[in-house]
Amino acid sequence: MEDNYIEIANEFSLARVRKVKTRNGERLEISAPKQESKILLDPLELESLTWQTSELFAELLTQPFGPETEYV
Amino acid sequence: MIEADLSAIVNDINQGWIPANIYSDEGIFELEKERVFGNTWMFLAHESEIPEPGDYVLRRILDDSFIVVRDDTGQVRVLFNMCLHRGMQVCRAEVGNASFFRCPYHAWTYKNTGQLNGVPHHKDAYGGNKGLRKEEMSLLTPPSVDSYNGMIFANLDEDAPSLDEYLGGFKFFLDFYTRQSEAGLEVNGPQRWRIKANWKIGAENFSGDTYHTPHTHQSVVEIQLFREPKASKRKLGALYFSDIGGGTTYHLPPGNFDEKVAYVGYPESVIESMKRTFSPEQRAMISEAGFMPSAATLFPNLSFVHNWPQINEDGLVVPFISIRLWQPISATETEVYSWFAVDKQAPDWYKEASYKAYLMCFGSSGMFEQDDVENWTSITTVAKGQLAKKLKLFNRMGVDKEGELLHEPIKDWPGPGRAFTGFGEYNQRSLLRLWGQYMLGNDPVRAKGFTSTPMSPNRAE
Ligand code: FES
Ligand SMILES: [Fe+2]
Repeated sequence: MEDNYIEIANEFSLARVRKVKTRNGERLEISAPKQESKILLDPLELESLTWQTSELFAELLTQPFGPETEYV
Repeated sequence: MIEADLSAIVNDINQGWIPANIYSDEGIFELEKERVFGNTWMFLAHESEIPEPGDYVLRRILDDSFIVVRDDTGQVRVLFNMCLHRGMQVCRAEVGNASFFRCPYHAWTYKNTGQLNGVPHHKDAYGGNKGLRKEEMSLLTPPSVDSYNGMIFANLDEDAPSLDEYLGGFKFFLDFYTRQSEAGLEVNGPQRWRIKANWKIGAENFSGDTYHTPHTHQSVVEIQLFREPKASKRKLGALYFSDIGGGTTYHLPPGNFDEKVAYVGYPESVIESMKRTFSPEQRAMISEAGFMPSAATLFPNLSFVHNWPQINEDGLVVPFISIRLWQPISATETEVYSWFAVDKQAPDWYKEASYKAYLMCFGSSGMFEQDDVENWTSITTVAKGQLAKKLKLFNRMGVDKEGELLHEPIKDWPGPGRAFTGFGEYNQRSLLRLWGQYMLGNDPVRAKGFTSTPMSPNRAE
């Protein structure tokens, strides 16, 4: 596994990106340290991102801090 | 500020007498905020500052903050930088690139079109769309937004005359600084700094004060940074004013258009593109009349400077253009915004040399700049005094006691408005008369009265 990630930041948020190797292949890890969230994307998932429009992200960002769980 | 006092001040100004405390009085400044800056077209940014989708810069019109952004479809927008929820400033970084803006207070999230996109716990907090329909909510925009040659302006008055109407004849001169080729400008900056001076002083100086150059900037000539401003030479230039702005020019040695433009240091490719983009009248101002634009001011607080210093020991002369905004902080303090501007199509070596020329002359490190500001802070400081309330400054250069012009306007002036050679405070008077009309609540652009306002009621300046 590689330690060095690149950081993408602006005044609104911070995300870290790095390549993660498994025994049998690679994935891209995107993490948001402040939200304690992370996702591992395989090449096909990444490829599919390239044909998304900002509408998809608008949809994802209707919840600006991620999924809102109900209190129990 | 009592209206009677104000009309007395404006009356003095129209006669060429400036009550000194207009450069320091807080009451006047409060009124300026509303009547001058609330009703005129204010420069915010140049399109080249936000070339890519998502690029934005923050700019102010006095106390109002705006996000000037190119949205994801490429459209330029001006968004009021105040959250629709509890009023937090949404963006605080001076420059950035983002598709979405997330408010720091409660995280309402906006698309870079200004449209409200995300609200935390939308359902719990508002009952979803029953309480808050996001599609119907967008960051405010100023009532009027428009651009000219890539320069983005906004006006806070919804009944404002159009930008085109406002710029009027001054467009003819604006082109020299902002349209040297089809590609237009690219700007760098702004450098920003604060000076303890009233905003009007810089605006007046850039509009027409050729009289100060030989004295204030003597050291610049002594060290051979600048070959032009010997007093005898400076007065051969023209002082022009058209509608809402005016400026100064130098008079060039004989030659055709190419030779005159080459004299101030433009490379061949820029000369060629100028020939394509300037109108025959604009070219004639340089070639036949022999006048090369230098500084200028567009009312109220946007100035330009075009100059051509020697940038090395070999005497290489290279011109530069700077755009500057006198952003008022208070009656006695101004934030200066200074951009370096250069034609986008110019060769790289020229862009670099021109940038050096700019840095040597203007901007926070520039020698002209430092000379000027010393005068302006001093004026502002002494204008605070008690006796200053009694002093009316003599703003009548170029007219006699009766208000008759000492010199006739230039005949066959190829541009709009009128122009004079010789020393004179024609432009400072014109600028302050515009100021007076706005302060009294009479929009001079609508009234179309500014070019014929007489010096005294029965005189014809
Ligand atoms: S003030 Fe912006 S989200 Fe509350
Ligand atoms: Fe100066």
